[in-house]
Amino acid sequence: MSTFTITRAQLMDPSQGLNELSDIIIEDGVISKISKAGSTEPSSHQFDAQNTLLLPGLIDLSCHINSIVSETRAAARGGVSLLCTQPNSKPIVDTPADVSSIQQASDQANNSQILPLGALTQGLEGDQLANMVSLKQAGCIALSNARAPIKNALVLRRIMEYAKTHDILIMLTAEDHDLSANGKMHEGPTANRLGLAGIAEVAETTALAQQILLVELTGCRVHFSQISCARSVEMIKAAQDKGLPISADVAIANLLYSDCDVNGFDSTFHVQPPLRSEQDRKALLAGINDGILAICSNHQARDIAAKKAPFAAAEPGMSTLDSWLSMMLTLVAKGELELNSMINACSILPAKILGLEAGLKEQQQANLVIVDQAADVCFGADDLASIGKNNPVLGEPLKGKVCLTLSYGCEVFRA
Amino acid sequence: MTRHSDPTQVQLTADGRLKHFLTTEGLSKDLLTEILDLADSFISTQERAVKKVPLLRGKTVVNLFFENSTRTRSTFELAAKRLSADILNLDIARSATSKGETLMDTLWNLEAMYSDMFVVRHADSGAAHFIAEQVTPGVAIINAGDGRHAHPTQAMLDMLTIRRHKGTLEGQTVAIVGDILHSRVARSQIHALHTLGAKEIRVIGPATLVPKEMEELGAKIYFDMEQGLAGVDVVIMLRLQKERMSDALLPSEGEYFKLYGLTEAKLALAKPDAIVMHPGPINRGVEIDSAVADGDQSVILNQVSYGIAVRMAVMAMAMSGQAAEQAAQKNESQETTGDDA
Amino acid sequence: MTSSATALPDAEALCQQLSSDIKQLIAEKELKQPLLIGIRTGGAWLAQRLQQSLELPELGILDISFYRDDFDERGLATQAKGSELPDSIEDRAIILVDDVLMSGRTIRAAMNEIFDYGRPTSIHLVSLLDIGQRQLPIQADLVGASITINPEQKIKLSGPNPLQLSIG
Repeated sequence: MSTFTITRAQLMDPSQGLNELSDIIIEDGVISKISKAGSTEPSSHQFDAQNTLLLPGLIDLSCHINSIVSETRAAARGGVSLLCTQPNSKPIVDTPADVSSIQQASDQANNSQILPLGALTQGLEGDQLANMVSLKQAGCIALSNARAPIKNALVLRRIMEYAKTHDILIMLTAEDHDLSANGKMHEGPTANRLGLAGIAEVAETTALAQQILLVELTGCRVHFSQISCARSVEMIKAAQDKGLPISADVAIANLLYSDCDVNGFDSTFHVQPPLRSEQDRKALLAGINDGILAICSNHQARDIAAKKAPFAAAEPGMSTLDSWLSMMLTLVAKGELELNSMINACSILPAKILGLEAGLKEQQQANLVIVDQAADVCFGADDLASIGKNNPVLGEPLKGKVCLTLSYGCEVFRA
Repeated sequence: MTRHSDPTQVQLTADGRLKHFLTTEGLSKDLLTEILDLADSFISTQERAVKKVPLLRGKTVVNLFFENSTRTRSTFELAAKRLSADILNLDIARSATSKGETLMDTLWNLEAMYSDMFVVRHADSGAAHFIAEQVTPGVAIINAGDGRHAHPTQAMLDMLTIRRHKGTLEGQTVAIVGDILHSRVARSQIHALHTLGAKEIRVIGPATLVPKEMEELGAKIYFDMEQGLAGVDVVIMLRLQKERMSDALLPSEGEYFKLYGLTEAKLALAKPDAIVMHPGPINRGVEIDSAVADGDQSVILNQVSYGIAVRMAVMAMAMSGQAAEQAAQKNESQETTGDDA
Repeated sequence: MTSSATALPDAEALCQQLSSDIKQLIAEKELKQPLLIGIRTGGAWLAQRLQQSLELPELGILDISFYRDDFDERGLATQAKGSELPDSIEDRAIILVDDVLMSGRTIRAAMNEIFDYGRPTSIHLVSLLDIGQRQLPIQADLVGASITINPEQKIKLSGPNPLQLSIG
């Protein structure tokens, strides 16, 4: 039996109201004992976590990954224990065989473990249902259409009815693709000044309204991925208050940046959903502080050529996994995000949405991260494990240095 | 990492001289006035027996047009030739990039030919700015139109036209009519008019073609043309593209002309000495009536002749800024070596 | 240090002297339709004075900004105002006026520009001061005064009224 002891860690788990100096014993990858600091016998295999925070490991509800080895290493570096990968990889994940090849690659990489999302529709084309039950049985924790459009409301209704029948969690993005057609950034003063075609807020909210009404009709469990507007937060809250089985997340980019950051045509800030107004950003942060929304990395590594083009011609997406926890802790340091809300939004709530064990409890698989909250960090391009250097924080001062990450009891990162 | 590189600043040297010409936004009144003054002196050299000046002798200018525009390209070509530069016309729209070569590949190839200046037209907003950031130091970029973003040389020739006909830009009321949404010319005009002291800038058109955010650029929105033209000194008509009907932005050319076409009756609402401008080419009977386009108040043909002088001015100034910056850096590095020795 | 000690001639006196010298030149060489052309800025002031005292009907102003050979070192002069010459200079006898003759490069540029306007019958060069240091084979026909200064020093003519020489 292998035993690993973590001593003198400031353990925080808002799901149980925990915030105390603790020792943790992990046996064969399972948390066997959590006790007051100093109560544990010295062990040969131990980690002194003095002056650092010990948190439940991050669970990423959405990232886009093609190179499994490098990107799961980036996740481990960013404090992520488990990550849901969108099905729009190459190949598209719409058969059980695709699912098992990802799982195998993930096991072999031995970094943060992947929880693959399967495609909702065949080839993500939006018109024919994928073999949803087979995908679930193959191990898909949920199904998603990435950001690809569902052909029409009727197909969406059928998807929800079928998913409800078999108790499958589906993840949707709210976007009316006719309204957002050719748009490159948030429709507003900056888009107008730069002469970039805008994506209006209504492209998200009209689609979201329709989807919420269909949830009401079908009773299907739906998670809304990457909402971006203040109005969407209101709509999600109202629907939740009504008792509808819905949840939602926000991409970290939309919490850190607004459409003003596109000034200068920097293609790093070309993302989907678009960076919205400062008012939207504030409302999304409030939604997280109120415990309504989860946070995802929405990581998307792009090679240099894909980003080295005029803004509109550059591929959308931002590489965020390596720096995800540091980005969030920087928002905490700035006073924009509460620490407890952050832990809830990137671990507790995602676990509940996915139906996984939440928080840090004895007899649970050890998914945890140790982070030096006060440490100053600054990422350079060479520091990133991700092949995508399209990360906006390169050279920027951040707070929070990940010291240790465990995924299912395995040590996947140590600084 | 150089984030938030402001396009308005990328075009200036450390001591505030023009080294690229990407947008009229953010340029000082002095600098815009310097462009107009220099263009005025080039108008006088155009009237001589020998129209050339040897200012850019030995320099190579490349017309890099990713979008076809024979008119604009020709005026840049003539401007470069009258400054004694060698000019290479590249019609990229039909060649390189369509074969999968990226914009960067094209640039590197051209730089290998020791070009000194690129005149860039591209369908993507920010393309000229992107190229200015990527290009080797010492090479000047002139924006000949990028997406909906900016067309600064057109805007400056319009400013020159107004100044030469009205004496000054200060205190003028200017109406810009038509497809403001898709117009890089309108955006560049609004910034320039604002900086040069126009009293009021009005944009006129239907809500499908006039974004409400134009107000934040300092323009006043009018949906009604009669109201919008009342008492203006200058009327600038924009070209209407045929695609606007199929994009469901407008019902028909006929209805557009009825509401926003410039006729003698509508022009009568402007000041009696108001001038009429149009960046060309004109759609007669769509945005402007022939009687107005060819009438006494029209200065459309003058715009064309001022276009060459304005382009000579910005080419000379940008090349000059680059030369000064390169010389300054050379001196600096020589001084450093001197210290070491 | 020695610069302030160098005595400079009085510009106004030189100007008067030049005026009579030019009168003599025109008579001697039998110049037909003489045209004074001053090089901006100092030469233009000087030419203006000379035009008045010689009672000539016209005056040309030359701005050589577009013809300089130091574009790659200094870029464009910020005050490029353009030249103002009569409609035609064909068959005119040009008297080119500059304030300080040094390297000869300004005169080279000025002559190039003049020929872009047309073909004059002749060009004579008049300069208020000649300070040597020539880099091109150019000589003035008439000079107000010749002096020697250190290569680091620069002479400046201020004006237009009164004309005054200073050294720095």
